[in-house]
Amino acid sequence: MIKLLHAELRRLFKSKLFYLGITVMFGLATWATLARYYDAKHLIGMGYDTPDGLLFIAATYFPMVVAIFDSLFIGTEFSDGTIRNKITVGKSRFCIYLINFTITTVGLLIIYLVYAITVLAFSACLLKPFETPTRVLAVFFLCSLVTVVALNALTFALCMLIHKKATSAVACMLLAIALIMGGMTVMQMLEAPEILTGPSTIVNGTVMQPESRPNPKYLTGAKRSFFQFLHDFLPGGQMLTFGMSSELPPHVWKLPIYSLISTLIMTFGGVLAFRRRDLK
Amino acid sequence: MMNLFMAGLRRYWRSTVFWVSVIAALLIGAFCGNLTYENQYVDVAYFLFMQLLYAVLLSLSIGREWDEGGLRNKVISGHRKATVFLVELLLGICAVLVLTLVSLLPFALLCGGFFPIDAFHIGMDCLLGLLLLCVVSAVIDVALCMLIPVRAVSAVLCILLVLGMALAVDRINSRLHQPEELCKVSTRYSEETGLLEYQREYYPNPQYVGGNTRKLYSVLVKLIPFGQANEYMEIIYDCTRPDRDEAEINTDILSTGVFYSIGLAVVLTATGTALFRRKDMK
Repeated sequence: MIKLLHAELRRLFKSKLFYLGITVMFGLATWATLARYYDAKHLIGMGYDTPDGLLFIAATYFPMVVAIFDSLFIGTEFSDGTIRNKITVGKSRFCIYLINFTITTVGLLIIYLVYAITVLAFSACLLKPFETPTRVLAVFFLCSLVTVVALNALTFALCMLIHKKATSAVACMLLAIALIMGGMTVMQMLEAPEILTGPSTIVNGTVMQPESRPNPKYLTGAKRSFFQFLHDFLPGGQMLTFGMSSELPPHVWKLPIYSLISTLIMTFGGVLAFRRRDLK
Repeated sequence: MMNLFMAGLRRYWRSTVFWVSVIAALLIGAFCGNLTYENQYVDVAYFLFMQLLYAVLLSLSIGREWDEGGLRNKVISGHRKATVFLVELLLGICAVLVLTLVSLLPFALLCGGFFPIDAFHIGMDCLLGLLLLCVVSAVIDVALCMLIPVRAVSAVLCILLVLGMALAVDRINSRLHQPEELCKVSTRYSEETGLLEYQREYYPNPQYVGGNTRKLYSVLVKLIPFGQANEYMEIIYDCTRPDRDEAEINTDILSTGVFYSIGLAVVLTATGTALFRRKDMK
């Protein structure tokens, strides 16, 4: 198992895809920070002089990176016949699954860290310090690392069960888009105001109070609890929470627990399905 | 050329991916039709979903031709590379139009009566513009897939391109829609009247884009299919407003959009053909 792990690690560090991922995330982080610096210079007094919001914005689109990396990295293993060869020489499917999962997780965490480190390094030189408390940043950062693992568990399981590289790439990307768009839709539903108020008007110098009415789209009761759970449980929703919140939600401690649960479920389910899979 | 085209049509007809795409188009049409009926406006997400569907179908279909050596066989059997490219392009356009019409059927049924009958001519112009945009999308996807022989990579790039264009249009539009001036309202207590007095102070918006940059952004938005679709959706939304005044609706895109679409399609076809002719097919 250790030999296989070493071999896979070597493959990861020789992979062009891995370095492409690092380069892309480095480029995006540099571009985002420089764009913020440009805004800070030109839009004075509009709150663009701090790096708040930059650090976790990558989390919102990271499902796409996971989808591309996993599908192409694992797809190559299938299309080259490497996985079948490993089974032929006596490695267990359980071992192959776990090692590949570990390797892709390591690769994705490095890619994710490259973005965070680049933003921190450039913003330390170009922008003012964060206004968001360090405690919030630290908690979000640690939680987002666990979410990356959960996201990888989900996408990785799909890649190990679809042997065709192109099909798994398409399926993973569609899954990532569904996670992001689904997360956004649920977030919008949860953030709908309870009371709708029209604009206030000024008549003869007097401010007229706007008319208020209950919002029919406001979620209540069990429906609200269900959508809140869905938003917190799915990695897409969690990533949006990190990317778009500036303060800790009261239930933030639940997020890594949900991520661990989904990682365990997906890995266990994935191993079971992969053991029964006909590799021809 | 006709033989190649007919053989290609048979290939699509027998392809599982094509039939799965047809079902997906039906579902997208039904979902977005229902959404339009509930919200009373056409969300541009409909166009985004359809573009993603085109990207998946065309990348997988053309990628299969690369994988199985179909393209190389056609060239070996004496067909010119330009002919092979154009036939794949025509097939792609046909497939995309079929998917669009299939999705429009449940869409129209579910949100029937949503569009006012007296603005029908504007609606038809928008529909034709949107169909032309579907053709442009097909040209973009086919050109990309014919130049990238690795099926998985071309699929990933086509999907990323669709998302990238949507994101770019969103960013550009957010800059273009900035007001030229911002208003700051300040209050002052008047001792003479005993009332609060409101004063409006206008100052230039630093986020407003003017001059040549604005012209460049405007052209870019119209060139990118997603941006043009956005403008069509705005026209449709304006037409469905109860207080609409047809004279006030900005319909510039109905006359200029056609030229942008055809221009982009021609340039991409010419570039794609030229690059494909130089491509080493191994």
